[in-house]
Amino acid sequence: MGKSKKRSDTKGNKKIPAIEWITAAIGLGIVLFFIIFLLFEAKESADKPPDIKIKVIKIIRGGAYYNILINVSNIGQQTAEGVIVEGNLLNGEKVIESSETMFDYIPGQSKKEGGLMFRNDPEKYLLVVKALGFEKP
Amino acid sequence: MIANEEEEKSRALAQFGRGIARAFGGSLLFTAPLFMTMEMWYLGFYMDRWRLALLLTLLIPLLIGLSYKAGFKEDFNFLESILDAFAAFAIAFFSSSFLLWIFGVINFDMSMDEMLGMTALQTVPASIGALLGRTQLGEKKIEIEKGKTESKYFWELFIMGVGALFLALNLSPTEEMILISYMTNEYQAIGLIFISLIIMHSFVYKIEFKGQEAVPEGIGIFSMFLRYTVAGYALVIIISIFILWIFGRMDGMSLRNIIVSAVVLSFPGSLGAAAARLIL
Repeated sequence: MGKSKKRSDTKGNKKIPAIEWITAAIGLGIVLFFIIFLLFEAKESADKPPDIKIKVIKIIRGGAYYNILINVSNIGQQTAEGVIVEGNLLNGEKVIESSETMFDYIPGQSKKEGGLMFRNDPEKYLLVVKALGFEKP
Repeated sequence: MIANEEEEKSRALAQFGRGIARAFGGSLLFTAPLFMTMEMWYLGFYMDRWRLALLLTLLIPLLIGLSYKAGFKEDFNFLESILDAFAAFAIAFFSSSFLLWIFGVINFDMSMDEMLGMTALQTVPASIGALLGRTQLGEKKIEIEKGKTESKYFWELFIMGVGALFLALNLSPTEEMILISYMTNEYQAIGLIFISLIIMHSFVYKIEFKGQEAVPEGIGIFSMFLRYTVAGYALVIIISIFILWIFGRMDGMSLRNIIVSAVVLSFPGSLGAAAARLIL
């Protein structure tokens, strides 16, 4: 379908409306931006391994548990898979309660949200949250 | 005289019934691949409600545009396209809920929110299928010829967009799509861009597929490449980014990952766009 019925009378030059060229230019601009960006990124990120940072956002009292909402960021370039985050409630040296959660993957330069659940009130104790490990995808 | 009128009426009714049946069939066909995907069900109920509403809102003009081009009367008008679009939506809604229910994906233990969310999401591809079901499986081919030459260009782009949208909808909910973008490095992504452009261009102009476009005389290959293939691919990219955002696949992603995901999704999207130009 789409055979052009309008034949131009002279050898070739059917006039192509300016709007089409503008659209083509915008399109070309987008594609070039992508290519240039990717080239730039490729040079920038020599393989930098994952680098995990954790931030506790807030503590919510749920029905049966206390929920600790956390943001886990990967400030490295590579993706980290299977990131285990552990939280401990400490009273001095003694561990009162321990919880952990796992993130399937955290890509480079990104962050994911998650939560740790405790039966005891975290406000009463010292809360230590840390990442235990990861694997390379 | 009266007998003829009766005949006319029953024939018109029969034709209407056939139209509905074709629409129903089309919607089932288009919804089938998505329908058996677990992520699609989950998306239906955890997806951000505003984004779902936005998707549905944008669906309506899309359907109206498609229906305008696929009108099955010579002298159809805009009002009829609107009615057509809503009819397709309704048929799609019913066929989707029926499918979801009969496969036990939806049951009455679920909240109304869940049920509606899952059905609404399925309705998006299903309604496109319902509209196309009537053109492809029956009545009339889509006529890009209608209208001025200027608008012909933008209708071509529109058709490409619909093709890309359909593939993007099918592929973006899956986990694998995101994983691929993490495993792909920047050079591979650039390669994907070039491959997508080459395939898009050759599908439509070079390899002798049926329904292929003849390049009009006197227009250079570079001109066609820029105006149709490159512009079309940029549209595919925009649609990919839009769908990734709508499904929340982009939240918290770095710019690098957003761009790579868009390129990865645009590869099948560009195939969809090229196929849509050939088929529709």
